[in-house]
Amino acid sequence: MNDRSPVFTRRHFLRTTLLGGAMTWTVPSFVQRTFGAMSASAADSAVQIQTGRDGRILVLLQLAGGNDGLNTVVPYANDHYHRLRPQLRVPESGVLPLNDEIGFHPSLKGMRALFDEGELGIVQGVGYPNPNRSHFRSTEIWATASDARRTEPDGWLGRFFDNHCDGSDPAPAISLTSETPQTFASAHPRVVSFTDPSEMTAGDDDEDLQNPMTGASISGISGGTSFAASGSQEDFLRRTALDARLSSDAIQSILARSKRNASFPPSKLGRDLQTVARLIAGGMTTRVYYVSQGGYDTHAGQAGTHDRLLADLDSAVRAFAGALRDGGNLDRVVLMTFSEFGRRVAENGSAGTDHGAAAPLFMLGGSAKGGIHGPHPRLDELFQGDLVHHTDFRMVYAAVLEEWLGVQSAPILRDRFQPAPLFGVRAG
Amino acid sequence: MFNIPMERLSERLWNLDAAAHLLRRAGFGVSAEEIFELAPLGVRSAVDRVVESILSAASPDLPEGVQPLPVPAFFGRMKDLGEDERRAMQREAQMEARRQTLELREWWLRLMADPVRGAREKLTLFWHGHFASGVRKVRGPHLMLRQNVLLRNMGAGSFVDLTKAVARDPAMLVYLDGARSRSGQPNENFARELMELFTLGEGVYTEVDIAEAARAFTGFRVIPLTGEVVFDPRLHDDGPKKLFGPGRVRSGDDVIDAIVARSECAGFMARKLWQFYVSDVADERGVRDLASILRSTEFAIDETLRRLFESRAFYAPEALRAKIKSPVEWLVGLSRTFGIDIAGRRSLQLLDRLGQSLFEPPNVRGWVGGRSWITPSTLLLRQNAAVEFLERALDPETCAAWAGDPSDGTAAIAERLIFRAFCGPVPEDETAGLVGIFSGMVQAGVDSAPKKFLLHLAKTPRFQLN
Repeated sequence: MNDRSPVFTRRHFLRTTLLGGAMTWTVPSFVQRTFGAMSASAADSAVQIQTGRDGRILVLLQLAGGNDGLNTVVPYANDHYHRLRPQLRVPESGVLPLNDEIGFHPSLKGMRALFDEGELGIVQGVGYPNPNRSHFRSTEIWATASDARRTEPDGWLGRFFDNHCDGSDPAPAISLTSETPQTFASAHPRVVSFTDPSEMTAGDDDEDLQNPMTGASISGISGGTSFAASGSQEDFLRRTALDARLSSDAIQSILARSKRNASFPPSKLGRDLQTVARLIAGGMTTRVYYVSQGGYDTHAGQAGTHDRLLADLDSAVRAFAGALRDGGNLDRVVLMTFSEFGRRVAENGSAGTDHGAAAPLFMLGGSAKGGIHGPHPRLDELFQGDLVHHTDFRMVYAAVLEEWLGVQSAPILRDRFQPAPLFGVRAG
Repeated sequence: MFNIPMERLSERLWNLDAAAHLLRRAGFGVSAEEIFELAPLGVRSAVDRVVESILSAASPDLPEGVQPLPVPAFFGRMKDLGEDERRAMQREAQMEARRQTLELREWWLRLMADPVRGAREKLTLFWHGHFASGVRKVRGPHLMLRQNVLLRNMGAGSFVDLTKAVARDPAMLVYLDGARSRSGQPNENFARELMELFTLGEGVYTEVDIAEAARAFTGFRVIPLTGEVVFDPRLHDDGPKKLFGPGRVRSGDDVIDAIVARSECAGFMARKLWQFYVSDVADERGVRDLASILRSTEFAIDETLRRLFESRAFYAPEALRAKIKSPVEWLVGLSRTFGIDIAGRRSLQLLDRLGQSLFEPPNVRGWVGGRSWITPSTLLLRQNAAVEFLERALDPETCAAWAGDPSDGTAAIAERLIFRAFCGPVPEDETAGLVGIFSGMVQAGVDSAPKKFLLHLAKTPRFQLN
């Protein structure tokens, strides 16, 4: 290790003064390991960190609010579609045909190009039995990979890290959201959330880390039980404070190695995917990234809003794929979109759509197979006015876990789901 | 588990710590002087005073610059305009909306920081997070102001009346698309969130209940220019609706009455009040007891809060310092505790980045709160910003005055400063450690040690807890 690295010096200070002392137990070990890898690489920044260069990466892109799948992948040749969507239908002349039945919304030109290049897979008819039409409950079901009739506290990726990150994997997850998604919830969450990398700047003053809240537990005042919420709030805050100090330097120094790229749109999604691309290019050892685009809850006046959202999604994803390809990273990154539900097939009286059920999702990059997976859900066999799924989202998760992240899916999904055939062998 | 009953706290258990806890929770941080003033009153009088302050706070002067936007008035003329002119007008209207939103936010922050209004504004903030609406979708800052006035005026009264008023509030009608919902093709947005997020909680109603309730709420329109709400019988579905199995209702008010009559409603509201006022973690017994208080008071919020604030459960050891401050509580708390002015543009920007933009909650669920406030980046921001504000605004002489007579010794001085920064006492072992730090500063001959020490305290994990 190179003691002259400025990053290292401060970390070294932290470790000797804090981590080596009574507070060791409060430091999330993944942060230490990440930092260890960082220091090692700082010795010769021309050499990529092994784990960073070799690791496979998953990027989850949430379309929050319930994307209207029907107007995203449009069954333009279907009469029922045009009948049930008198105002909101995308006319046949506007769609970007993918075959003689379905086509992309006109905003998705870049995604269409990726599809033509064989990089983009479209998984149709994804959902789950007994669909729940609450944003929050359905998001929770997707996050925890639970049955609609069961509540799970932990997220599916939280369980992935719990099962497969003990010891050797140095990579935490990064979520570019203001709240940590439940997807990562676990007894020992390994996720760092931030909304803007420039916010991850710790002051120079390390003295507050020495503040004497070490052994002091507020349970002193309460005399309460060991599970007193007050005591654990303190632990949680101290842990996060330390996380912040340690990960902020890692993130800043990784970002410093990779330039901005003008091809990303100036939207929040564009900025976030650009940050992810730069962290990947810089050799961050993170295995899972999470970004979110909001605004899909189009109950009224849907058309213009949905056009803009998809155009933003399209240009951000296109730029992301381009940046990864330019850096030689596209083969080791899979991006997967998801939304808590699709929308009602029939439009409502306010030129919008209410909450629905099954919808398509996209898989991009890595060894994800391009093309169309599965048929479009039938428009003449609706349940409560909604499309019926044929692919359980946990079959998609199983494929990601087994074929991409290389782990057994059953212990994580708590059940055996047949992996959807979404991945193939990739040359190289 | 608290496992402590909702009966009144005995006067003999009331102390300085309890007084400080009540003031921190009912309002937004306090000065040390206010704690010392309230403590001698005893629990009954102290709670009386706090609840009285909610009921008697005068209606505030409204922000003058928040007015209906001129945009809709342009629409008639816009057809005659060229593309460029139309764009320019739209841009101008957007900038005006943005300016008004900032004025609105600054105005509310100032109200919150006003000592006599703290408890009233805290309750108004609770309702804002509960009946969440956002200015971006609503478009008119003046409609958000109107909703804010409604929540302030009715927030301490009957929850049933409040919910009925919110159902015809223009901002809510726009935010959840009620203003565009008409007979024949009703829009489900409001009906669904009313049950899921405002009254019952997810999973205790069916999709049929939602579709039927949506029919009952049809017929309202919002006049674009003025924001006035009109009820148009021609757009309203007047037929009978099947709600909750055998029930039959007609109007939106009937729907709300039927909802409140269900036992789940009191439980749901009790849980939300508990998590806002008592602890981030809901205690099942506490929630159950609070729910019966809500039922027995017929959802009178002032009486419910009085019973809660007087209860032993409210002062349970598990409740003390158990809540993570929301960004607004943290910011207004900085102002109240240290007597500094925080209502500037810098503060508004900071609140955006900390995840609590007033009048723009992240979605209709409002703010989740608790630990979700704290991520590595928000914690760093809080620490850096606390130092920035206090460094600039704290006068070393004031700090020295707070420190008191130097001849009292460093321990006594440090304890006074700790009490002030944390709005009340903290555990002895923690105090001892902090006193050690202050002694270190004094021994090292640090300039204006009291101010430096306060800066240090404002950065600690402890300062994030209420």
